[in-house]
Amino acid sequence: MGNGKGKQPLKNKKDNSSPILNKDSKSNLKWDPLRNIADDPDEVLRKTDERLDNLEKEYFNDEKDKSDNIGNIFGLHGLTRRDFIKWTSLVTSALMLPYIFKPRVARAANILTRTPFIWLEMSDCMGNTEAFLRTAHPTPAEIILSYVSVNYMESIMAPAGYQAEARMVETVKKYKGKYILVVEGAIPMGLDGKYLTIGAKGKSGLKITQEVSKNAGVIIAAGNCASYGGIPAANPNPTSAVGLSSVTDRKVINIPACPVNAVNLVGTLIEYVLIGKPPQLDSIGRPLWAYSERLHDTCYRRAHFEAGEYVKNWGDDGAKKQYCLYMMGCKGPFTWNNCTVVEYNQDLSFPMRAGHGCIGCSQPKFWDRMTPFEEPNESAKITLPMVEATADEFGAALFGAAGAGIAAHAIYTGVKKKREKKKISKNEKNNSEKDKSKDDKK
Amino acid sequence: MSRKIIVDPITRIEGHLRIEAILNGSGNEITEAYSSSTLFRGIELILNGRAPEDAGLFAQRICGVCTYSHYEAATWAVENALGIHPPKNARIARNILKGTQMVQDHLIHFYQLAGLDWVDIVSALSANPKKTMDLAYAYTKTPYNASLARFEEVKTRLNAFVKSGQLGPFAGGYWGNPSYKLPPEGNLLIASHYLDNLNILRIPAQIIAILGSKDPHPQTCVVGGISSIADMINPHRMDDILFRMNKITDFVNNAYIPDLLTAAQFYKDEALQGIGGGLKNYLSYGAFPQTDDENPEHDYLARGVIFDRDIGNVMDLDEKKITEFVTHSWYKYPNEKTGLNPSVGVTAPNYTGLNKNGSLKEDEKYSWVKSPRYENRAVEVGPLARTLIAYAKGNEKIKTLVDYVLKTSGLPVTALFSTLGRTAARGIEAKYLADALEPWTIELMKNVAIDQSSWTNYDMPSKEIIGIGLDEAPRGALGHWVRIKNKRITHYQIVVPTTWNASPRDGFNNPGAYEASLVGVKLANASEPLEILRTVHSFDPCLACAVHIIDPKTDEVKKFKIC
Repeated sequence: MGNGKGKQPLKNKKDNSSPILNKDSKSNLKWDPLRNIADDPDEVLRKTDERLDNLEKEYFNDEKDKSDNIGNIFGLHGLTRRDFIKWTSLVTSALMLPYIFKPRVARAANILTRTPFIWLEMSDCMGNTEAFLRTAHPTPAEIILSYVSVNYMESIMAPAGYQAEARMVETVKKYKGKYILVVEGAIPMGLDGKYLTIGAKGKSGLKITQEVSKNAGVIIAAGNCASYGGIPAANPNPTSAVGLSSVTDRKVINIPACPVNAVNLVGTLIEYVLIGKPPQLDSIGRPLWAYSERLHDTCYRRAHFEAGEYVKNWGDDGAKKQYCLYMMGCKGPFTWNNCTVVEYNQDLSFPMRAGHGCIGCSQPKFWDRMTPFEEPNESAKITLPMVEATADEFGAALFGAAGAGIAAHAIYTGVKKKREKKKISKNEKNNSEKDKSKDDKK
Repeated sequence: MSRKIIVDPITRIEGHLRIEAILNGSGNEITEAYSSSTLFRGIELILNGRAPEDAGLFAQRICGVCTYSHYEAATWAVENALGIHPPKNARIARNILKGTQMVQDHLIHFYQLAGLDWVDIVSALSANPKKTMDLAYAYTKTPYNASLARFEEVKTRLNAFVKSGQLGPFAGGYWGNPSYKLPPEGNLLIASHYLDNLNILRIPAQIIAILGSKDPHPQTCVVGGISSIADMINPHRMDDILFRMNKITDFVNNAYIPDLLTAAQFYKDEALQGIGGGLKNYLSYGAFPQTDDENPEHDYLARGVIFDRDIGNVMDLDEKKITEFVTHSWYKYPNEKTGLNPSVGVTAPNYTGLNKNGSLKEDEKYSWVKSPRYENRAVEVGPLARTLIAYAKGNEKIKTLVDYVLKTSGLPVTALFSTLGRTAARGIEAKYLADALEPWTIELMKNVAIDQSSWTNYDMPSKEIIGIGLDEAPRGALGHWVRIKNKRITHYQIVVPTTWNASPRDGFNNPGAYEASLVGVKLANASEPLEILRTVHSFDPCLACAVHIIDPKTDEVKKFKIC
């Protein structure tokens, strides 16, 4: 959304159904991040090392400073070097980088702790900040990001007022073109941006974002609000809120979800440090490494969908057996993200695991397009245009042509069979479209 | 001549807040203060025309900090309109979710958000680790992560940061300000727990994830019950919750409460002078229903109203006495001198801007927050209000805890009416709630063994129904008012804790809780607003919650169309 290069991945995908598969038969590399650097694997490593060497020279005083840094940070928080090594493994694999990159990820993390970092809060709920402060998956992420390199982050910084503003001005000036900018929250455009003002001069959030974006090294929109406008932009959009990419000409990396999954944000930052440019993005600005899988395809309840076994009421027998939540309005079939794989809060859960359907929070406009969240998708008139749709095609096609879509999908599943078998109950459901109550479904 | 100082942004809070304070001519004492919220989002308006079942998921996004509170209050409001109650399992599970969240919120507040107002990080560098050990053992026999090696490590590592010039969020703080009263050892002790708390915080979040799917923004509290029954009937998952609760109570008992007592010891004078006391009226809606009919009489956190600090007389709450004023808020009313009950609340944005020099027009409208009042009086809500009401109602556990804290720090009950008292009340409440989590979980496990219902069936009628969800969020009284017709929301109004506390002046020119509490606060250094932050932070501001709008019929707003 918003960035001009958006069409590129769509074209590529016509040739190849999976965006992460390598398109060049000459090479054995199966990962895409590296293609962003060079085609030849040796060249990739040489370039990465060169970049890391330069950054280390820039941000560390000497060898000792460099080697003690992570130890200092982790010791302070009661973590060991072992924790750090475990964490680098996780990030390396999440980024689909080969094992040889593990020490390089570690170096990148070390550099990240010194890379100046500004976190702006716009029209937000602070949920994305909280996702770092307390969910912290994996723990080192929050430490590296929130507690070391952050130069301006209203939620945690010690100074306020003039002293806080001064920190931002100083960072923007001193680290022109180098600092990382993360924006949380939508940008209200109404009232000339005055629905949000920050600072003693009452500067609008819009103006601040534009100014700080101009000289940032990389710009990241954390969460759905910053990516696509999120809830402030939901109908009737009282403050004319928009996503970050609508107010800046610079390329914006969108890391949507509500709130953002820390793994995806940190992974993207590490990749930026490694290669010096944004990762490959899909047509709506999301890194492919995290957003190329449809939740419906990676969900552990998928087998029940195929078998036609559904939860039909909260707390029914199917709910206890963890059947598919499609009939309870799960938006997994329309949502691209990696929740089912990386999960939340240290691999503990995600919505479907806790018995509630997905609400599609990593898709643009989900507050309008995916609602009512808890109604069966058919009666909510949310349908799937084609089974094989990828994120890009889907984004264009969805909700344009409401109607028969789901039938195509259902041929492959138990849905249709089930429906024919239970024609009576289907009729009931049709009636309940007009007069919906959970009773009718029973 | 008096001088005016502006503090914007107020950092270490949720949302966007500005404070303007007038200092008296000779000294640095605040004579008047004005509180302004500088962000408007309009979530209630967005709720119009939506399915009532979605209300919780929308309202939850009001705030990513007390994220579960709005979810529950919205769900309660819809359930209230339908006249249903969730089954016992769901009621207990919700209490566990919210209790855990409240403890977590209080922890993050004491250390990460407010901690730096009391603790001088730079002073910690000159602490003697041995003496720090003595301090660590002063109020507990088993202090959390306290050892000579640990304190030495924290000191050395912090030193390394200062040397490398990488202070991160600590840079630019008001270090060395004379209003910091802790000795270096006290600073080191609490700074060390500040760091430990970063690891602790993810534990309550994990509990919320198990029953609620993720944190922030859990996704299991459905109208009529809760969706995570598969986890509740799985002993493995419940054990995962139980052992995490032990870690939380350990930290509360051996870090939070002792640190609070340490701070009280050195900031005692402030409390005795009543600095930051502010308003004299307190209100709580009550929360954590203990009976299946959800009768607020038996709530774990008590309901009631206190006027004029008369803790001998707790009045019953009558929600009809709540009105909201917009006299000094950026909204229009037909008659701006009177307030309206939220059930008939009107909101039409009317932004009149700032003065040319960027300061607030304090005689006119100056905030996006409305001014809720009870019987036309400004009241304080939050942990202090709740603790006072429970104390006055004779709640044994609260009484024991309050008396222990007061006795240990040698303070009278009246010391509670202060910035320190407010901070202490939050700690007391954290312990009161943390202690309840395990018994609730065991009760849930026992009940699930005989009864596995987790959802109450209901019929959403087409006729108009009205519901109210009165709840307590970490920061205080939270109310959701909903009207539903033809199975869609037609009117939604939210009055959140920070609206009460951060409100601007009302139609009678009564200041809100922040504004009142700042009067009399003295600044050691007028260019460093440390004391302002300390008092405002003691309320734990949450401005994203506070700003809202509702009125489907204003001109500015297009009719909502259901997709």
